[in-house]
Amino acid sequence: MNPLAEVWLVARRELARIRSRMFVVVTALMMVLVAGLLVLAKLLGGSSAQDVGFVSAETARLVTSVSPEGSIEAVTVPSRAEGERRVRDGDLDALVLDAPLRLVVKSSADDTLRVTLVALARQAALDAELARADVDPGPLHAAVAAADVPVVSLEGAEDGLEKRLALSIGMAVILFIVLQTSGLLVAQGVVEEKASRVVELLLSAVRPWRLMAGKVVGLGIVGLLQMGLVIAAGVVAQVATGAFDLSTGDVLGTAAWSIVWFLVGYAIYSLLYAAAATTVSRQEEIGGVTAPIQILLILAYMMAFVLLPADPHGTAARAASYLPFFSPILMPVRDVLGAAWWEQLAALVPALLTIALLVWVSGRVYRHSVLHTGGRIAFKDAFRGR
Amino acid sequence: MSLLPASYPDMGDLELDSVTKSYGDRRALDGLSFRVRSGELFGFVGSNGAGKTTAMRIILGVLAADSGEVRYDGAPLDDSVRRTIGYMPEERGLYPKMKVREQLVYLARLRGLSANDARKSTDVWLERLGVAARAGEEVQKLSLGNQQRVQLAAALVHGPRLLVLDEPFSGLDPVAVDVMSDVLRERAAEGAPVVFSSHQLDLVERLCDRVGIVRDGRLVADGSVDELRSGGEAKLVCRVEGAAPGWADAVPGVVAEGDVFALEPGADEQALLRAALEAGRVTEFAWRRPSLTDLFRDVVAGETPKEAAA
Repeated sequence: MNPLAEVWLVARRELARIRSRMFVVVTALMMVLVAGLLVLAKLLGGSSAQDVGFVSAETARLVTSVSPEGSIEAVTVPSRAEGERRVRDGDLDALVLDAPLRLVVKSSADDTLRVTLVALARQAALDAELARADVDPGPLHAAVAAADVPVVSLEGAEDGLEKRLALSIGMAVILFIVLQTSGLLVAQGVVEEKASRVVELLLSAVRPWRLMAGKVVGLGIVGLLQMGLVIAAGVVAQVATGAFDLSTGDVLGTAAWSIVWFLVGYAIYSLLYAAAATTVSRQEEIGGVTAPIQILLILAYMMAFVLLPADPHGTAARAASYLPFFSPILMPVRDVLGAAWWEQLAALVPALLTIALLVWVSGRVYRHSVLHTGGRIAFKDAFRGR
Repeated sequence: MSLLPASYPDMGDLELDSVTKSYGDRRALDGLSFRVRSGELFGFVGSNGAGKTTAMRIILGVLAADSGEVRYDGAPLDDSVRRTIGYMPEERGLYPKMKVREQLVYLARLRGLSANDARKSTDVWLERLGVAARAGEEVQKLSLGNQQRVQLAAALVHGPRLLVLDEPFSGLDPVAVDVMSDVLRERAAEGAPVVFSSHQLDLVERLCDRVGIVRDGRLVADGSVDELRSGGEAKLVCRVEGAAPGWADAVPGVVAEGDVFALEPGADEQALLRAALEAGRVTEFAWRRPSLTDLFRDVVAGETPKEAAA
């Protein structure tokens, strides 16, 4: 059997976890949570489009074209009476009548809509006066259209920063949970084989590194599926509700980077967890031996809350997000906060080098300690092979 | 009738050649050499810590030897042959939460069987070992005896061309011991070399074509049970009714151990018989060849009998 086929055979055994109740429940829960939070953000967001009824389709087009993008949802109604009934029922937020322009609302009118209609009415009045004076309104329209007020931003444009911060924190939470659970699954799997002593039987058929690789790959696929489903739920909810002011391209880009960083983070952390777990022989000892790794992960998670919101692209945040053990959480979060794509690529370099180093170190530690039973082995001895 | 799914027409001899292995300062194997021929049942005996388990782990490649070589069919034992070994480690172990059938199919596939062959063979062995009814249960839900049977199935499921079993009989009920014995004989009859270690020497004596006794990491006796027994020091059993204690003390070259007498080289058994006749009524006077247990005690001399027989 070639090595890859063997690694795959070992990996496939781990895929059985996908059918486990634990996986199904946790994944479904996270999907519902993510989608639910997006819907909630949409509902609480307030600045949703107004449903405005029009008797004339031409007026509808005109008003929509001069209104701020996404602020109104035009609906054509067959008659004034029908429109008024729907406004009274709360089905429509407002009804626009023509010749002359009038705005019908239940109690009070939305300012944006009113300002837009007032501008249109004034222009119509102006046109009428000009026509009476026999003046061509064309050049005047052009001059009016060209008038604009430039915005001077003293701290650079930050498009919807508050909303992006909320999104970035959600991203940090998901990555933290999935990395943490997949890492612990790897640790438990390694110790299960040692504690049950089945590992000696396995090693008589499979080289140690293939056994370890199979486990890491198999559980990686499980984690990737979980991550993918949760992110997909988020993307679908975002596209459907438009809760965040992001283009679909931005949303897909963010989703893609989060998957890339999940894979990188999983590789780093699962190798650490696997190496730590081989030095013990009982499930109860996992907590103690993996504590330093959990602390690293928690540090990365905390930085996403503490360091990034204050100044997402400052020196401290930037430096931390390039460190291999932190980048898998900090980089996708900074992506949400608007970091350039080349920063993502640059941070991948130290992360991938770390993975290569960990494959070597963890493979060595695993090979030296996987058959050792009894007390915990010092990492130093496990690395040297006694 | 063979129940084994795969057979290898080219089954060869297993050879260990001057294998050494040390753990730190302790030398576990000290130039261990032996050969198990194709179709031979080889009993591997020795006291605890003599190096049996280490030797088996080296054959399986689970441990690496410091020096020396393991050969199969004249060539160094490589991974492709190792994969076909049927192995029962000293430390029994299966995935506790994996279902019996799934587990055996998985182990068979790791040893190179196709998915289809693995399933077929698993069913054959579960049936034969009497655990077919438990196929869909998690291993941890089985009784210890049934877990042992599954463990045996794990060693056999891929139709091994070489069997290496560390204490295969320990923890088995008498019925399972019979099944196990039959399976080992059958596998040997098909040409596989079979090595197993055991402390149940009567079983080894009954079952094995050849026995190797290991002490301090070295083979100190190697031969068929008959060869070993005839090579051992035969003793005289002499029972005399009404004789005073110490009646044989005057006979030269004779050491008494109750009714059993060891004769030094050149000592005359006829002189002992004469002394016996004078001492009382002789009810029994016969040569007794040593049992494997006696030999074992002689060979591992220096240890207390209690330890040696443990």
